[in-house]
Amino acid sequence: MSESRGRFVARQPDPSVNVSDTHPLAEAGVLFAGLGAVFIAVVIISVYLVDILVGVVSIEREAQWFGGLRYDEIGELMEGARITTDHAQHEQTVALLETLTEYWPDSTYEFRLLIAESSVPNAVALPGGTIIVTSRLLDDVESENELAFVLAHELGHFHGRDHLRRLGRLALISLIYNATIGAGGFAPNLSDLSLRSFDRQQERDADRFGLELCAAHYGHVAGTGDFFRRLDPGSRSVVNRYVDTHPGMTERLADMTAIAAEQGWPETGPLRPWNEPTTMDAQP
Amino acid sequence: MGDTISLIINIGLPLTLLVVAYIVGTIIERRHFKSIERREAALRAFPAMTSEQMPADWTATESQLMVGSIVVSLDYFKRIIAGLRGLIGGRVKTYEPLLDRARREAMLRLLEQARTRGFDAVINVRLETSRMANSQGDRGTAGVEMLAIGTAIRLATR
Repeated sequence: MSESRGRFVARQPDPSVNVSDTHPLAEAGVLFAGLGAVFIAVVIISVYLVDILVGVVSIEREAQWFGGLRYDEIGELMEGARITTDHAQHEQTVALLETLTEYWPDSTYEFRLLIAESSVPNAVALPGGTIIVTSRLLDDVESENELAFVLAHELGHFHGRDHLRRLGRLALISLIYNATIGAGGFAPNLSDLSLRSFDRQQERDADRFGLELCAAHYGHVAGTGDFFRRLDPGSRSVVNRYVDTHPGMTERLADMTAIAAEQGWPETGPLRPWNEPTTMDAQP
Repeated sequence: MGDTISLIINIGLPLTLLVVAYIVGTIIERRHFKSIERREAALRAFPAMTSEQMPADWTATESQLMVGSIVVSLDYFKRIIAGLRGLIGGRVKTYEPLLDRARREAMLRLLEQARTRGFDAVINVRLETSRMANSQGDRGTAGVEMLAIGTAIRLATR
């Protein structure tokens, strides 16, 4: 460079102007905390919004939407189990269900009881009034009282319209979630997990309703907890307690005992046999 | 049990990835900045300018097109934080050092090349970026190419 233009002094440019000096972890902390709070708020608002919406959907409308589920569609929901009514104890179980629904006269549901061939003892309430019990459950139950409570518990879900609530919440939150954080590549099950404390409350309410029907029918609640007692896997970790859709079995049994004591329902009484040809409507 | 596993997979795994990506990313970034600063200091007196014409009193005996290029990609940490930032808007601060590195590295590659080949200066320097496509479509960015181009000149007199 020419001397006449003045001495040129080479300097390095200041590199800091193009990079913010916020620490990346501070940025991460603010974003996670802020958006986490928003997400929790959205979950809570959605739950209440859906509760309002569920009240608007009539049971007839619900049956219209979901009542026509085909066996193969239900089977897919039940992990591919074969759905049937062709089972030795089907009629007997339907009769028990009908007996129990007599203690819930306000119900406008038309219940449909189906059996899923499965080696896992379970019962499920599906929108539209469909109750599924697994063949293993029917094989395992030791008394009619035990099965009655399982069925009454599922009726409790219809009473609270829980399946519809759950469906609505999941749909709404998945929608919001996928539109936002889901695009960032984070866990899609997070929304499902954040709803599970609500699920556990629904289970408790369904247990209460189930106990009420059993107490009304049998005059006591003996045998109602047998199903859980057999399933009890022992103590649960904190993680499990957060993840589970149902309360821990021990906790649940304690809750049930408390409800029975509070309502004055005797916890002991004669159990009616199941699977033995002594009941009036036994199979030939 | 299945739920515990799904919790680990759904929350534990991304969280671990996030921590690992942050630590590894920070180490690499720090090292890169150090290298950039060292090389920039070495090239401090090497003239590079954006003007299309040489200063009037320069006489060039040779000129050649020089290209310096770098492709950078995001680490998982930067991507997640930027993804969250994308929900509310604002400065995407985690991208800034990345692009700053890319710009400076591309320039360094251009200038180092010119100097190694015996040129005295680079004029008409331009920086360009182009986005690499991602096989997953819109999800995430495979990377960005930072391209520095300029005309290297050898001077008869200076």
